[in-house]
Amino acid sequence: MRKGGGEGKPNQVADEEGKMSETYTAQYKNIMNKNFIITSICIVAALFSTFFWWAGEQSASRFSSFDTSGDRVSERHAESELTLEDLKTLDEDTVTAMQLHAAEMAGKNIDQPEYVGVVSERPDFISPVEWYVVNGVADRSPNPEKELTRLVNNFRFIKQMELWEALSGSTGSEKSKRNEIAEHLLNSLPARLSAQDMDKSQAQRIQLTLLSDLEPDPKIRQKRLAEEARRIGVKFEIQRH
Amino acid sequence: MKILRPTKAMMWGVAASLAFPMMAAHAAPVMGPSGESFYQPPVMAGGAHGDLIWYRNAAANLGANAPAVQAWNVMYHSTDALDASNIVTGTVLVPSTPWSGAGNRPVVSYAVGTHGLAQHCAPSRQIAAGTDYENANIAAALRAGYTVLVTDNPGYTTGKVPTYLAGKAQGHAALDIVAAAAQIPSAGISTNAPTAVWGYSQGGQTAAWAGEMLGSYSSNLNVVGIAAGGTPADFVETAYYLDGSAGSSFLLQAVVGLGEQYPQGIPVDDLANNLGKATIDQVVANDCVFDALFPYMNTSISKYTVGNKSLQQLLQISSVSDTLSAQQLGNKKVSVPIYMYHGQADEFIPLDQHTDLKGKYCRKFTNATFATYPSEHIVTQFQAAPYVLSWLGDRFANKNTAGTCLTFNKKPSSTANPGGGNFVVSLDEWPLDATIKLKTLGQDVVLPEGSAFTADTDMTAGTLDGTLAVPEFLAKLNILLPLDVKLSVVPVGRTTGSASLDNNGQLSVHGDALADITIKSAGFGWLQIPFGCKTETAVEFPVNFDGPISSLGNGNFTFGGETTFPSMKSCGLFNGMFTLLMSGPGQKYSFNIAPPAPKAW
Repeated sequence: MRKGGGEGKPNQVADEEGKMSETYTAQYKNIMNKNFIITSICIVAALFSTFFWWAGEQSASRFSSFDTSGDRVSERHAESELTLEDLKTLDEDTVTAMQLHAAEMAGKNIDQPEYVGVVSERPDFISPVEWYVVNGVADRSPNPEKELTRLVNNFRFIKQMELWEALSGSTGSEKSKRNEIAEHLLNSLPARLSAQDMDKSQAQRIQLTLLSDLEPDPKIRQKRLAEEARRIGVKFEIQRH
Repeated sequence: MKILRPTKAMMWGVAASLAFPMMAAHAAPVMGPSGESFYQPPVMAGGAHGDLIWYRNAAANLGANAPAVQAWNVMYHSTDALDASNIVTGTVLVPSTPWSGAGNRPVVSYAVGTHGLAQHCAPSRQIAAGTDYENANIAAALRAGYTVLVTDNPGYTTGKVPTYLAGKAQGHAALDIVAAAAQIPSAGISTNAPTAVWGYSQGGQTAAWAGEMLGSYSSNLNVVGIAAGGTPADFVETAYYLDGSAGSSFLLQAVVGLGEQYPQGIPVDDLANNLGKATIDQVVANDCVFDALFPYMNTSISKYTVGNKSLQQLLQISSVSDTLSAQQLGNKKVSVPIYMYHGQADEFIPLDQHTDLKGKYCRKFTNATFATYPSEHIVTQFQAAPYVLSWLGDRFANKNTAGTCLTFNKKPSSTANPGGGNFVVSLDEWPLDATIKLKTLGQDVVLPEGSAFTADTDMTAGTLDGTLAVPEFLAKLNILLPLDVKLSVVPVGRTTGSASLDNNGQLSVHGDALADITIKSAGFGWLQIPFGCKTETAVEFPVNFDGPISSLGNGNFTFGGETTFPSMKSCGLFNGMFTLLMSGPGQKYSFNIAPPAPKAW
């Protein structure tokens, strides 16, 4: 976990604002009202910078949000960066900014492998608020470290799935991005099943959804469906008419 | 039609006379033979009613929740409805654990409901085999610590035709088994023990008859209470109710049983046409209660009579009319308190004639308590058990009861489904006790009081069709945030599936109840969850129940398992987090549905 990085945060945030503004509107146009988003992005960016500066000043030693390194370390030290008192002082705009940033980060480094072992640092696709919740939930499990790893992997899958949906109807590079996400999601399904994050019928439904969009040729699609179904232990019969 | 089967009876008589020495009247009871030989009466010089002829150790398979018991089969002397001596068998069940109450262990003479006319339907055989559909009630009485005596009723096990619904004979048998059981060496049963007769349907008739005969027939017993439910007290009214209706098989069996006891009154051979005779042969030879229920449902008695005489025409025959009138209850005061109960939606035995019986008893200054249960005939039989046992417990404890002869409550009126159609068991706003265990959060969500299930289980069509109702509620999610995030369960659409009742009284209900899981944030704060945050599709809660029909009434209609919650939708910026926390397989649920409480009248 990066410590004491408070002084560098405002600049880092400013860099990230640009990235967010490019992709966010397109990604979430199906979720939220477009006009609202454009207006709010400007407000959020300003608030986001302010908050981040404040947080860096106030609690630099414990707050290292928006750390996008994604490094995995072998020791569990996954304490939340926020305290309950911090959460009480948050405002809606700040939280929105955190959430949007984490959502965007889920689309980066799509083909990163599954987390294994102990997750000791907040992954960048999980916002500080989410990290607080996820850690709290994992701590209630009989095996908190293993549960946290499961939750983190599943969370990335869920966020990438949401990103894929948000990119629906996109063209060009965004369409390519969407396809890249789809392939990654397909590859992740066996792991989601073995972690019991979903059951086979859910996994198969996702396969069908992804491949229906990914593969326009019906014959190739059928073949892929059969292959993917096999990967999750489902027999998929191609009907011949 | 060969109702008496003289050839078989003669063969057994010959065999028995060869196998066993002649027994003198009033001889000390002896251990009877094992196997089927037990049911073949020895040659005897005679005996008084209540005399134990013989007994043997018996098997009792009353289900997984039944307490350990010592069990015996008994054969004893009794008296039929025409005051002629007869021989009856039965089962004696004594809890293995010592009686912890004051005085002698109380005795319940449990009078069974319709079991069917075939010999193999006899309670003693079915208790041994573990197939008796009344096991749950018998086990409940044993759990209360009472000795339970179950007469087979006259005509069973001895190679004859049961004198089904000959109330006086049944009452005799239910009283005589108490005296007989007290003669089993070392069983610890005393005729001084506080005793009750409890029965439902045919058994209700038995119990009420026993109650009316207490002073005149078995004055040596210490009977302190009678519990009679679903009682056919007025046979003419009951016959009209049954004819061509869901319970028409009971009318057919009543004709056979009463014809056996009163051959001059109801000359079945003369009245039945060829189809009627063939049907009666089938019912007598093979059918237990649930075997007969569906094949003969909604059939008019006229189908089986010479010239297709209707019930009305049959009742114009004076001997038939007199025979039915002879079964009328309410002619005498019951000298001990009586608990009378009836299902308001009873589709087999009409409610009105039973409420009329209460009036007759009250006018004779019987201490009568009447309770109306919300459901139909079979469900009521099992729902009532804990209430009956509680009431009997008070009688055994010598507590006073004021009864309900003086009541300001409105007289109950029937809510039964119309006769002549499918056999539908309606669950009308039955309380639902449900818990859902959220897998990731490790948190239980309990549905609020007022949750209910309303359904028609159509046993004829084999369908389940109902709705879940859950009052608006919010269960706080334990996600550690300083804001209230709450979950609700909102039923969606209809609960549909299949329902069936097999010939062994086993109920199967299978279907799917559907509900949205919704998430809301309460109050002000930064976590404002948009309206409409819920599972993408409704959650399926499979309804899977296979068990005895008694479960529907006695609170054991429980189903559960694991289900999968779909992803969440419309949860704004925290949609992913709520999908993470809420969705996926392994969400455990447990639903219990039980009838609403009875009402006193």
